Amino acid sequence: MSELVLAGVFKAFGPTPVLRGLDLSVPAGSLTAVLGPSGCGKTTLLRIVAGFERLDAGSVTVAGQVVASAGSAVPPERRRIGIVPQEGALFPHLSVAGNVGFGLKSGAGRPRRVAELLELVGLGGFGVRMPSELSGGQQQRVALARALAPTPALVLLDEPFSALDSGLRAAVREDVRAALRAAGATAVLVTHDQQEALSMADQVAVMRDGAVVQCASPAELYAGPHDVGIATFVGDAVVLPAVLGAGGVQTALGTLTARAAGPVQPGDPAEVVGSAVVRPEQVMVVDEGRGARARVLGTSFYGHDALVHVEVEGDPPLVVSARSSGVALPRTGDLVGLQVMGAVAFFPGTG
Amino acid sequence: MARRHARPPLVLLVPALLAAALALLPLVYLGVRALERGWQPAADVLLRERTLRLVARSLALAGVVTAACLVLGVSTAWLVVRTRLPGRRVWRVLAALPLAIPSYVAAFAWIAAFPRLSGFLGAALVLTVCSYPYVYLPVAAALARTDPALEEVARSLGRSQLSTFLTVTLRQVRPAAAAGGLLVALYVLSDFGAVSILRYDAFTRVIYTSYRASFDRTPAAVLGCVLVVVTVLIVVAENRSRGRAAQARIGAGAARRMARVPLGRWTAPALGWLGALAALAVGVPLASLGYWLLSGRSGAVDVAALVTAAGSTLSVSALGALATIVLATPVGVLAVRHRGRLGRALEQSTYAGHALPGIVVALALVFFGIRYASPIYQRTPMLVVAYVVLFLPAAIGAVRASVTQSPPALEEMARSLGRTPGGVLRSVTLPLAAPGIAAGAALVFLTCMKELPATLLLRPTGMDTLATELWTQTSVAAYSAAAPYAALLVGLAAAPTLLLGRWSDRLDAGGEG
Repeated sequence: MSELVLAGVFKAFGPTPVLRGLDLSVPAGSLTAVLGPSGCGKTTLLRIVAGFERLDAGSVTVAGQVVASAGSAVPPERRRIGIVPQEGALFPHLSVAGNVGFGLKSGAGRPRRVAELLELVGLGGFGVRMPSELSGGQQQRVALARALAPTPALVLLDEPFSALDSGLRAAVREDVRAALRAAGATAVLVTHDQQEALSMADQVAVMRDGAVVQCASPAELYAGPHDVGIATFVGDAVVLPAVLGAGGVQTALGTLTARAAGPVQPGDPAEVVGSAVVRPEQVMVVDEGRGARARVLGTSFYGHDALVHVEVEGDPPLVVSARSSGVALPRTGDLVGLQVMGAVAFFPGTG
Repeated sequence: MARRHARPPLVLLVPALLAAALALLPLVYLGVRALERGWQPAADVLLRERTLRLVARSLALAGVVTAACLVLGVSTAWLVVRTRLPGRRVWRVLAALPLAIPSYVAAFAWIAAFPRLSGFLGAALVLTVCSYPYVYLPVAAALARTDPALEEVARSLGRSQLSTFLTVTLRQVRPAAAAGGLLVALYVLSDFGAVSILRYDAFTRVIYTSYRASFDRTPAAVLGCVLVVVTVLIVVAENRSRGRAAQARIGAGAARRMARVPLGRWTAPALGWLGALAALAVGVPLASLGYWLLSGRSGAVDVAALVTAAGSTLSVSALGALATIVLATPVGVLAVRHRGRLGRALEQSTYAGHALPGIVVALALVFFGIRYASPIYQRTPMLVVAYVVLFLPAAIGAVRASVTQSPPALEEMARSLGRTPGGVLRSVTLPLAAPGIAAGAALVFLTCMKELPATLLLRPTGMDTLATELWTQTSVAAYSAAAPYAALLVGLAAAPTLLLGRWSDRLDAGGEG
């Protein structure tokens, strides 16, 4: 069953439409990432779900109850939706325990629940501290504990890691993911960072111009994007001019296998002109003489791996990046061969 | 991002409406009384030659004092902030110190020392040395903030040091100086104590004497209206002139600290200039006060009366501060968090107190009290209402500033955790704004203690405060009897000035590195 369902949500600020008929369904107990560039309307979406903004048309359903539609809106305090905002937004006048217990009814159970949640986010014993005495990562974890304390139907995370420095970010992400799993919470994570979305979420919804353009599991999204725009947005990609025919996808890198059933079926005599999207890690740099001939233009070294930028001979010449282990990198000017592993995504049409 | 604003909660709306109504009451009622006998008597008062002369006299005083304050304030600020002046820290405190001396206390001290110092020159002198810090403080802050790179660029383009000062530095501090000048002009127009003690027939004094002298209320009410109009015109004119001078530092990054100008052979004249100013502004009043305090030991001081007056001052001021802050808090919160048409209208109406001199508010409330509120007329509640009207703007400013500083995300957070709008106000908004609210209350408390005209006209029958006792004793030239009250008032007024000094210290520390 879906915990959160958005159906045909429209929202405009004055004459500017921000959400244009957005649909999204979040399964119970899952983490769905809403991924989009800044300005695509993802924060507005979150604020509508939380109840801080009214929608113009459409509906929002949480745990089977309609909480917002064009005519009516349940106030935020009655929605049972927890929020973890960008900068944590801890109440500076309350201790850590005071923050975590803020949404709980006062009573005998409160201290126990607060301790339980601090334990869950790995901050047992931090209750007496003040927010100003915590690091950025700790503040973010307290904010999560505060949101989870009243056992909300849904937790919304609004780019919660963007304020952290990159070293800390990965660790806090892991902790937050683990805490959400342990609490069995349904969560929506809004982010513009595709790595974050792919690594954390069970389901990724890609937003563009106020609507969800594709919603799929991270692996499916990465391998089978719906269009070239999504393909390049969710990861590094090499876009090749290609022709799809009966024998496969003909490109400058050779004839490749098309992923999924496309517009041309095997045995069909017609040919379709379009583009093929190849991921750099599908491109293997091999010795000259095998595969397509190419000259190395340079390399970008990242430590764990490297990108090799090569120019494939032809008219016009084509620049391609290949992901390589970084152990024995070719030198600039070397002649190499390129081979493509696995199926590629093909999109008909030019431009 | 544009956000829709829900209707403000009633716990805020009801007191804010009350505050706005109270703030507008004197202004409206003054107009009603001025026209009560029809247009003819009002026009008679208005078109009298005496009235025109009165306008001219008041404007002349305000103009001369403002010009003098601009020269003194800007030059002192530049010397203290931008030059290698020996003993800068001492001068910085001394330059702000005149704020600790209420103008009527300074006037008392001057006339007690130089009995023939009355009329225009005396009033202009006393008001100038009392109010030049209103220009000095903002200009010093602006000078400490300005980007030295601009001046360096001007020098590198071939401008001399003097030309750079005139064309670049002065232009940068112009908004600060203009704002300070406006404060001075409004202060002079609304000042009642100093001009009365120095016997200069400015608006406020004439309004007061006309009210005392006759049972016909029309002249006093009409003159009050004219004073309000003059005040509003000055505010509007200043606003207009400010619109054109946009100031901005383009680009990010902290401004570097600026090099201080060596004074060289100008050191002695600069020290002499500042020394003379300090002697006039602080030295003479304190010396005169000290002289009359000591010479009055022969038994003129009535200790019991002094203690009673101090007690009354504290209690009515505390009540005034409490009532003001209770009404100011909802208005301040509404103004920041519910920027709808209603919130803005409520906030703006409470600013009526800014344009209303104390004597005008007092007079309007006297008229109103006699006719419609006789149960509280000449009792404490009426005086408290006057304090509320006069000091609401200051208190709202303090509340506003502290509410603005706390991010609205915290309030949304509390809503998502199950708190109702009222609950959010109690558990988040007010606790976070508490320091600002307390500071606002303290400011109003200290200002109430110094207030003279409203206290004089509206105090409960038989009650005397420090300010009214000083007034009474001075008006019969009993200077040694007045001195202890003046000394106590200076002591009370010094507290916020010290705080102000600390604040400008911190501001300056940023520029000093």
